[in-house]
Amino acid sequence: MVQSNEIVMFIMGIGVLIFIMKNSEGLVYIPHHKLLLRSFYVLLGAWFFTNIEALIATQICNIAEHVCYVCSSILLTLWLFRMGFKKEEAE
Amino acid sequence: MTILTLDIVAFIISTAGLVALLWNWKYFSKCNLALLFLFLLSFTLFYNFCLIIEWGGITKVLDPYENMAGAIIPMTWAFIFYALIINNKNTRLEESHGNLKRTLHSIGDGVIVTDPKTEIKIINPVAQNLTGWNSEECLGKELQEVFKIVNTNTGERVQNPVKEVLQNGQTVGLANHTTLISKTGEEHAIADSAAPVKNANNTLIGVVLVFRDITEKYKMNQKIRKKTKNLQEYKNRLEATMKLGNLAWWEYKLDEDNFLFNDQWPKMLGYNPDKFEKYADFEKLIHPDDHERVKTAKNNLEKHGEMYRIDYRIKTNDGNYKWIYDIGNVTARNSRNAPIKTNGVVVDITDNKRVEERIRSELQQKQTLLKELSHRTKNNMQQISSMLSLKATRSKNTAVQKALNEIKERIYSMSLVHKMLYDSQNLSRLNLGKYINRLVSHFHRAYSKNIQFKVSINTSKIEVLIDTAIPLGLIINELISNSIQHGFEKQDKGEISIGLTSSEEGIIVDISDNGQGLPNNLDFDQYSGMGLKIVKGLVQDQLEGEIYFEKSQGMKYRIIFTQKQYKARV
Repeated sequence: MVQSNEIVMFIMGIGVLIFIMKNSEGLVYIPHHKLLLRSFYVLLGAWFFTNIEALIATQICNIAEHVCYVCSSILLTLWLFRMGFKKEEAE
Repeated sequence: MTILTLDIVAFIISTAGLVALLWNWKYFSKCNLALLFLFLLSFTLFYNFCLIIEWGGITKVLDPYENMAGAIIPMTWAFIFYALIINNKNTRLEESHGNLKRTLHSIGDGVIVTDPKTEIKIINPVAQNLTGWNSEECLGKELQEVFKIVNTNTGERVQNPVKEVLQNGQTVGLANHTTLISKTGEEHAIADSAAPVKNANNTLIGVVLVFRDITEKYKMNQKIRKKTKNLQEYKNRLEATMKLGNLAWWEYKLDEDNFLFNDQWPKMLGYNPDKFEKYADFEKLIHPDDHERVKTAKNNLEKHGEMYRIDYRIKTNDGNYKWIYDIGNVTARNSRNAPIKTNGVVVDITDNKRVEERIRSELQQKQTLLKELSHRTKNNMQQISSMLSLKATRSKNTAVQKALNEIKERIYSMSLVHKMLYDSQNLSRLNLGKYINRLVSHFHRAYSKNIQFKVSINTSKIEVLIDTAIPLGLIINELISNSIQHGFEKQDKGEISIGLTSSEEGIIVDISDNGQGLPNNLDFDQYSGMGLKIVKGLVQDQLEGEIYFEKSQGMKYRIIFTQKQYKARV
């Protein structure tokens, strides 16, 4: 069953994606921006899967959703660590 | 079970992310991102925690997504991206500002930036150095006070270019010959411009003044200008002189096949200079008889580098021919020493040629006349000689015969001079050696006595004027006659030597015999024989020389005289 809060979350995620695309020029200067962006894209994927799991392939979509959470966490953590190294290099 | 594992992994990883955030807390704080990330990670951890414990059956109590709470995550992400963009913009702005500042400090020109009120806002080190004001002193001051410029030539104050920029809103260059007077009174010749500084709305927000010290360049320019002026004057003088002397120049660059010449060259021939572009334009005007000669000279110059001086005829615009004297030489060679550039001058020598022709014609006439004169003189003398000979033969008086023969010999020696002059090309001089040889040959034939004549000519290049040859011929005639007649009275055999040498003292003629000579008690200077009197007179008066004699075994005479220069008698 589709939950309204999950739909809202996904729609807001799409809004953030539009914001990212509109400001892509400003984001390219962020160090290791690809990692951060991919973390978000994967998270958006998780929200997508959580919405469609109520419609098709519930089990697979549920697993995909949780895999996406893991991947997003990995990418974000990786970015945070790499920013730390970047800071040390700058110093 | 799989999902539980995944949630546990996500939880652990998010915890690691939280550690990373705390590790870089200061850095993210500067970017205003620390709290956002803390919130995001905390929420994610909490969410993961909820998912894990969901398996324990208390999901309903702790599900964070109930009542739209999950919308917090995308919002947080949006804030994170926004903060990152803003922060990045600021960083880039700071970097850009830093770069501009460093550029301004590194630039080799003096830069002053003012606001619209002409108050100084930025001044770089070069400008500080040139104006003598340091940054702290002059920031906020009126530009007029710091940037004092005057006209280099007049010393009068020059209008500040910044004011002009503010009035017109356009870039202006500084006037020429501008001098900047520094705070300490030092003077620097400067050049460059002032330009408006406008914002994005095209509103004037200031003026940037860029200037550089050109003192050295200015001095150098002054020198160059002076030298250029001198060169121009020199060129004008040279052109005027060439025109006056009817001279023209040409230059041929062999490697470029480029023929250059000044306008005087075609003008000299009466042509319009525009009609001439290459050497062939001149070449086709050369007289056919001279063409081959000129071509050979040019070829030798260009191929072998042989300088040439050649005169030839060239057709003028009115159809006549002008005589041209052309001098060409190689002025540049390549690394293999082959000519690559030749230069030359041409002179109009038509007038000279006319004069030369006239002189040659007149000379020819005079030579003919002189030859005729010599020929007639010689013939007349021979007739006199023949008449004397006839008279001597008919006379029965031995003394008369002797006197007549002596006169005849003297006339012969004189006529021989005229004969030799007539035979030679040179009508004023004759070869003394040849003359003596012929004179002596005559004596050898004329006297029957068994006397040997030895002639020793050590130089063959003595050529004397007729004024020297005739008296010398008479002297030799007298001395040889004396030797034959008086030196060998008691002997049938004898030897007479005649020598001719040239030394620093002059021309030396030695005549000696091995006859009996003069008696020991006889003084040569007091001796008053007719022949010797003539000899002494001729040597001293005609040759302006000296005669020495020695009476050891026979007689020895030495006559020393110098070459006579021609003296005009009319």
